[in-house]
Amino acid sequence: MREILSIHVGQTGNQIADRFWRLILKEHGLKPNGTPAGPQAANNTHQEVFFNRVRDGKFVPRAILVDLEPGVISRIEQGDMGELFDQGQIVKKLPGAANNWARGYHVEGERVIDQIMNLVDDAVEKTVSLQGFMVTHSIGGGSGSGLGSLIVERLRERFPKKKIFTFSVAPSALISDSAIEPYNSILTLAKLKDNADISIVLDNEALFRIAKTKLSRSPTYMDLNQIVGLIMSSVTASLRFPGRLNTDLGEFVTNLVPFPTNHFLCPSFAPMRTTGNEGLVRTNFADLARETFNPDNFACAIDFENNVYLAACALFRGDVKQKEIDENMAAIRKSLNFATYVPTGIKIGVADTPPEGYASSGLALVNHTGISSVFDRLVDQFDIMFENNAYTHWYQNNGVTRDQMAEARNSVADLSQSYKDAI
Amino acid sequence: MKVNNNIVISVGQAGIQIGACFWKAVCQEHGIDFTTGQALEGQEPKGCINGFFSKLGDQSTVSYVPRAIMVDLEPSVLQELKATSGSLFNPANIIHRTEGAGGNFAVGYVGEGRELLDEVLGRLESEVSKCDNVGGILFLHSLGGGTGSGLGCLLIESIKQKYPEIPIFSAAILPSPQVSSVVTEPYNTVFALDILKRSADACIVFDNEALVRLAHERWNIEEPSLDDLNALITEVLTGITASMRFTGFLTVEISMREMITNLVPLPGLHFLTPSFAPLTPPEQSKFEEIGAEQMINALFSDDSFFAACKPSEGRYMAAAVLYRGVMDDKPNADAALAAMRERIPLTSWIPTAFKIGYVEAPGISHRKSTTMLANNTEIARVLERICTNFDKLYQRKAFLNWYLKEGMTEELITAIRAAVGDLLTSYKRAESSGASKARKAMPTSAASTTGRSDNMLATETTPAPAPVAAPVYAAPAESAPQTVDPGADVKTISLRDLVAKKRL
Repeated sequence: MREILSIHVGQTGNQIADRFWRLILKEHGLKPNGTPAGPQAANNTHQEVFFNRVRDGKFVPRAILVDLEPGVISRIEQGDMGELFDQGQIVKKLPGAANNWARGYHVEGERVIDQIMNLVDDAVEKTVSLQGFMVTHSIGGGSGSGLGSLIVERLRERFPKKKIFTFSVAPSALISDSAIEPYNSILTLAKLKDNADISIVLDNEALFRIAKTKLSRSPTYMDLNQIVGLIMSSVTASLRFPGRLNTDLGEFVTNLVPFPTNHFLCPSFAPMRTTGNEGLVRTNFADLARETFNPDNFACAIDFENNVYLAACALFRGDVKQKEIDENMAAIRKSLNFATYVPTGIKIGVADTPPEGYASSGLALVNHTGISSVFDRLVDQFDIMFENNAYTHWYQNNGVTRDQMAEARNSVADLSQSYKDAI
Repeated sequence: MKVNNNIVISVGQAGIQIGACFWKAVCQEHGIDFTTGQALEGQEPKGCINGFFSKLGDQSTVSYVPRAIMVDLEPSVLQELKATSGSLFNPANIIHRTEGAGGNFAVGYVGEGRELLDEVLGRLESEVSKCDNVGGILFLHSLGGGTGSGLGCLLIESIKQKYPEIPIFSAAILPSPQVSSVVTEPYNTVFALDILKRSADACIVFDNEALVRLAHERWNIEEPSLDDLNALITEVLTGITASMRFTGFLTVEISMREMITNLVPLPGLHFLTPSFAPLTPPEQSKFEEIGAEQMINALFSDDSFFAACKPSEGRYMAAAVLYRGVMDDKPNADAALAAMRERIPLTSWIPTAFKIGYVEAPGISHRKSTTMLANNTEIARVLERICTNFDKLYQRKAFLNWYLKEGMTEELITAIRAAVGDLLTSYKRAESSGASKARKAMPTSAASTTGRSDNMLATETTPAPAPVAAPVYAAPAESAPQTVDPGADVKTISLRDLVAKKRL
């Protein structure tokens, strides 16, 4: 009974939700409306981690969907998963945050946060022993970043002992979704640094690069969200399916976070293949393990060159033998450039059930000092704009002072420095 | 369903004609009959109607009423509109007087226009009360005539005062000697620019000079008529508003507020240049389709812009690129855009610069299209053209009596001219500061922080350290340096005070 409550915030957060819940439903043998697809579908899994069983055998996701702009959620409601979610889980009727963290956090956020926290309380009441929260959002936009920060902050206040995991889509270096991304990102990262237990950083550019090299066709945004969905489902797989090496959220935190604020992780999923109708994707374990730890396969643009691993964790699913793991992982551990003061190996988890369409899969979650390059880039962009007062009036008009912005910037710069000091 | 409801206000002849063209296109995109306001036979209207329409009645009697207000100082254009649009528009929202503004800003702003003000504000109040949440107000008007510039600006100013929270977009048609119908255009435009700078949140500049060229060169029309120009403007307006009118899984609504958040880096620098691709003639678009990369290249090419300037020679402070239509290869388009970003001149102080939007529902004339709103410093070149013409007239005090007669004073006019000159200087400063690579050599940011006011980049701050390389946009040599200082005193008499005085 280790339940997890998912909170999806903003457009990106909800697009990920769409993919993620599709995968989870299939893995648990449920139809898109939440009813079991077959008589034996409910066997051998712990649906209660992600689902709340209601009368007539229907399963309702433990999830709250929040967006300040209702387009994506409306689409989910109108789609085949329309009956899956309860109206009481959705908060959407609000004008958008206009790409502005300050509006998401202060102006619009303050109007909905109580409603959201009530929904959270309701959802938590239905659990026996809640493990923690998973929040999906982007950090560059307005709703996901501003309101996302506010939600994470309130969750931390109200549930100090529960684990908060965020899946945070970071702006890519290549192309921006909005001109004021650096401000939004820095303000969000500062809040995540203080309030989240683990933040898994993803970036669209890296996802696009992976999808482009690994898929046989030109990738769409659905493909990118699919990868995020697979990562999320794998992170939680060993909680939901019986396996030989179980890992729960708390264990992740203990193993992956050497210093309290250095909790920004980078994920990688393997094998990246299109799952078609032609059958399961099969990979032998040696290849799978190698691909899992291949720098090209990480869903975030981090600098592997001059940096070191602080911690790593691997989760394999499906048709994997213990002997193979023992044989291969020692070699992988040796090939990775760990910090000199980390003598331990890679934390390994195994779950028996693979993701839909795969015979086996691997997931790596690593704490790597190279992630500081992501922060450095954002801090640099922030500085340039901030020194010239570009766009700052939008924040000041909505309740974020220059000092607060500078504070957030220094907090992120310190974070980046702490990663460099950890080398 | 959209949460943001937008209101469109058309003022003056040009504004109303563009409005008619815009609403026709919008009705067509949504599947609404332009003459009855009802959904086409046996169909549900497409997209999110409540973005721009209010829905009245239910089931069989349902009709969709545009959130539109049309105002003019003379009746002929509106009567024509009523004749062609049947029962689409709410007659109460069609407001006119009989005399006309005679191409005089002062008549629209100080005289005749005032009498309409209360009625228009009343209608607006009733429209606002029908909205859940007003996303923004879009003004369609020209700046050359008397009604669009004078009354339009009066409305913008009054509405901003009444609803400071609502973003106001002005889609402003700038006059050009080629399409000119009024001699006093430079006066009217400069007066209007001053108010747009202070009271509007963003101003989308449609330059008639460029529109004529586009219609001629890209649409292959020998003698472009006003209808052709309006059709061009409508392409951009529908492109910009598409995300407010349709939803989709990948569609993000880019509300007007979001647009200005991304496009206006400093208060006052909000004059935006639109561009559109592909600019194939509408009747040909069925047969031609261009790839994502080509489309991006076309979008950024100087001859796709709706303003007569060369954005590639200025600096992009920010740009919003809005894709529209079935675009499976959007990531490729993003990659093309990223490559483009390397080539175009950006300011060094806004490293990200781009806002990207995407709408799945295609427009009428193109299956795939892109619209861009750019905040480019080159817009100063267009504004300067108008200022030069203003100065030519003003040096000889030509036609000035018409304005003095309505109660404006020379002092005031000089102050307004200086304020618009400041705007040009701000753009120029933005351009030169963008050029300097070293961050330390920026114009003192401390000075501009302390001097935080409406035109913080203008007079208060110390001049940019970069020497004036080429005085391209410098206001006329003799007037600029002198008017700036006394300007502070003169400015105390604002247009608003003037009106108050006149009332007394």
